[in-house]
Amino acid sequence: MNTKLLKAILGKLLVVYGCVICIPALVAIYYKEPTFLSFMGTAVLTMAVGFILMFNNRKIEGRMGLRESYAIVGAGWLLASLFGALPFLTAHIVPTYIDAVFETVSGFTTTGASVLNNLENLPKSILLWRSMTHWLGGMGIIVLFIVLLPRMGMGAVHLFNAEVPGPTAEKIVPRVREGALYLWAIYAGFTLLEILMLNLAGMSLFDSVNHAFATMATGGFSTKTASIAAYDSVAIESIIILFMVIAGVNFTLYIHVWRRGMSAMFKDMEFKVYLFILLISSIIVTASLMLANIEFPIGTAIRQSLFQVVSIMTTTGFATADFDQWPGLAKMVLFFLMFIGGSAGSTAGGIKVARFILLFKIGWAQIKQAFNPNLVVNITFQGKLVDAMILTSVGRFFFIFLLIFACASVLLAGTGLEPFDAMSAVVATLGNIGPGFGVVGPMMNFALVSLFGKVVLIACMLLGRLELFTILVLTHPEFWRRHKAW
Amino acid sequence: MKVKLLQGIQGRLITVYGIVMLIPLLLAVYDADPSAKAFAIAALVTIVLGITLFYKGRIEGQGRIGVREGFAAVAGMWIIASLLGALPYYLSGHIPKYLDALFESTSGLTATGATVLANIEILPRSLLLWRSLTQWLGGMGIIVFFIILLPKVGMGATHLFKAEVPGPDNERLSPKIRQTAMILWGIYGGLTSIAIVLLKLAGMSLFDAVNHAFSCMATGGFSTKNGNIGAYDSLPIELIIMFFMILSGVNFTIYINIWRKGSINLIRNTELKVYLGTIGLTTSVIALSLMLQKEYGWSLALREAAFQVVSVITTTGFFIADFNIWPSLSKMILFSLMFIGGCAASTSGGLKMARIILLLKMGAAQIKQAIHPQLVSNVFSGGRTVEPIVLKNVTRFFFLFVLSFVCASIVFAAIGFEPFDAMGAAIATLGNAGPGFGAVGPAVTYASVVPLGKIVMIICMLLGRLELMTFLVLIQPEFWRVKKNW
Repeated sequence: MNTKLLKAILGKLLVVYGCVICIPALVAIYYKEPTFLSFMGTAVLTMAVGFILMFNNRKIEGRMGLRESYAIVGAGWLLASLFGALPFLTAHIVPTYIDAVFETVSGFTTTGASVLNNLENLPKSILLWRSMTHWLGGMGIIVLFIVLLPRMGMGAVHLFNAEVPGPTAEKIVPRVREGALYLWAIYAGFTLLEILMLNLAGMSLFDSVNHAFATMATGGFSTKTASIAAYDSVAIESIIILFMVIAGVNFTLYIHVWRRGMSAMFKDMEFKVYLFILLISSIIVTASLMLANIEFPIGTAIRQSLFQVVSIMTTTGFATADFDQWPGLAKMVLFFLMFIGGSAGSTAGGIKVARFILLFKIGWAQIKQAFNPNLVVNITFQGKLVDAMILTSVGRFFFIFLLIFACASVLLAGTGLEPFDAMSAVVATLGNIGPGFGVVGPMMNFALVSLFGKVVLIACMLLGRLELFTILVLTHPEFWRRHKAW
Repeated sequence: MKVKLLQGIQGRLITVYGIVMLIPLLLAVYDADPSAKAFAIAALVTIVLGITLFYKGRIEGQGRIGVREGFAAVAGMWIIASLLGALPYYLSGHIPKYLDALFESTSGLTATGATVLANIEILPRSLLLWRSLTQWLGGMGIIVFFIILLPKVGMGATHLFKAEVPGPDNERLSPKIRQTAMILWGIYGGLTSIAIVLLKLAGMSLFDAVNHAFSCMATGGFSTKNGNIGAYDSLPIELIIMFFMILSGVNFTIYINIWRKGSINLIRNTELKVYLGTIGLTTSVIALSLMLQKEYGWSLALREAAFQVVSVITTTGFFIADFNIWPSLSKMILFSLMFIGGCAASTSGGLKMARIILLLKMGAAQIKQAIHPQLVSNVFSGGRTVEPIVLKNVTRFFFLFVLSFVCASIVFAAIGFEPFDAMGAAIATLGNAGPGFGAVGPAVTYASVVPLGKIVMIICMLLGRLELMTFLVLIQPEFWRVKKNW
């Protein structure tokens, strides 16, 4: 483990990060908020630590290998969360540091679960910082790093794969840095477009920026306590639905569309399945609402169920209704959607549609092989043969995800949450959705969860965003071995 | 598919089944009980059907039982036996609706233990005996299925069940198989007899002892009392039942090996260790939970925790407490145990210990793989490397099990269950556990579930008992093709 190189890179990361923290500081000045000191102080501290790390590890030797990449991503996210939490604490927005870390991690991992209440009375700089953490974490702080700072060498590929979610690594451009740049360009482009459209639909510029950040990152933090329900505007809801769907699509697909036109979209199986699931789920949930209450106006039913289904499947987490009050079938469907998640290569969380497609194909092959053990079934995806290694990793990922879910649910139940509330809190964080059910429902927040529970959920959020393995490798003794044998 | 051969096998089994029906018939006659007529008709119909089928499919010379015949025979048997086994309940008028009678019959044969009866004790002794008898037969059948039939139908199940028994493969039934089957039934019957004697000594009437021993060895859970084992409020009885539940949840190949070799190195058997360890650990946690969160005295906490844990993990379903009122942590643990299940090749349901252990090992291997992508990580079990085909089958089974669970949960939510109750009912039937949570909890029974729900539950019970494969194979059109190409 090349710790010198590690520290040098982390140092650089912190310096850049410290500069970013100056943005909310400037906003605080503009709005004449006392939080200016918190942000400035945090920025200075972060940059100072960064510079010290860089200075002490000036002479870097050796290359960045796979293990170093994992460590950088893991440590990078951890440090970003720990430092980014300071403004919340020092400005007395939250009672404890754990709460501050919870909010920050929820921001970066684009979960959107909040311990805060009464958002309208919070300083604007704080609200902006929340949304900024979403936006940075959505496309990836490491990926951003790759874009901004050149000369990473082979390490860039490892870093990219360690942070960007998805079962398969698709190479769209030969150089990783170029690919990362494209992704960020598309991401920023859509964000700008959404800001414009929301503003035109009636949102203030400040709110538009915040919500656009939260939508494209599929995060879910809002500047309103009642989330999007506060606006009661079909126009705003429609715009947000549109961009949530956009954010939940594989971003490399947009690059394909740029190069080859719209036909690329219609050929993409994951995209079709993604839309199909959204459609079917919306229909079932609408039907559930209508059947439970005959007088429920169908227009409202469609409007609310479509929004919630899209919000939850893309793991955004915005709410236009208290779906905790919905009938059992609607809640059950929403609960299971939290596991599915969005497309691979998007900012959404969850297990990802691509993995489910592969799992289904594997399952079907299993049935075929059951009565002819010698039959060889090849599994193809998007026209290409899928490597056996990927197939095994998908199945195991599915198991580990559910295993973590089960263990965390038991732990949360231990802190006093009822079984379904506990399970929903876990999947809502592991899948980076945000709101759960019951005491952590859409019109509630996570403030009442015990300290221990919050720590478990913080771990879940990080595990989910970094697709389990980036964090889990840190638990294996093999990871920490002194020197490589080859 | 040699339909004639299939009919021959099934014909014989059904005839035997009909003859077994004569036992409760005799009891009904002895008790001067009007339901004797129902048994007489049911037995007559069954025997006639069996003999008809046998003659239609009379085997000329040596028959070859292939993979497909085996599958169809087993799956068909369970369905036919359930349909016929419902007749006594229905014809006697004690369960007026045929669907309910079918539910009870299926719950018996699949050793689930879920009941539609609101009042068990008003049933005549013949019907009570029939209930327990169906469970005992189901348990016996499944043992033979697991150890003799399943390993030879491919899917690499051989290693999974560690059986070294030559099976029907395209050869005729060899004497060795008959011998193994005899040994199994000998062990099964022997343990049942010991259980009967011990229960009688502990204070149960002979009739009750027989019934409870039957349902205990099958890990079924039917009782002759409305309050289940709790009705006796006797520690000796509970301990005896617990002991035999644990024994029934053990891999029966261990018993075969003890019989053949005289002794066995139990210390090396990972599955057994994990099984017992899990029981110990979860009992302790639940006992603590009861003591600290519900202020139980330590002896009551331990007594109830131990019994419920063993009952749930072996998917028996006996109960001495209404665990619905237990703290959330305890309920969550019991819920999870329903998924885990007992050891492979036992009468228990669920995913099975052996699979869980393999999945965990695969997870660890995957983490190692993430650190060293070039390295091929092998999974070891019992000192040998596990073949990839076995690993693949385990992950696929896991996925299909979870998928079935999700679909069932959605259906139950649609008929009006709250999410957690829906999921509880889904795993209780799919895992053949018995009582679930909430509306189908131990204190309530399945009486009030709507017909659609009961149908889906019946399907789940059958799917779970026959390890999914059997049925999923049957839905493939290729399965029914007359000529084999290989």
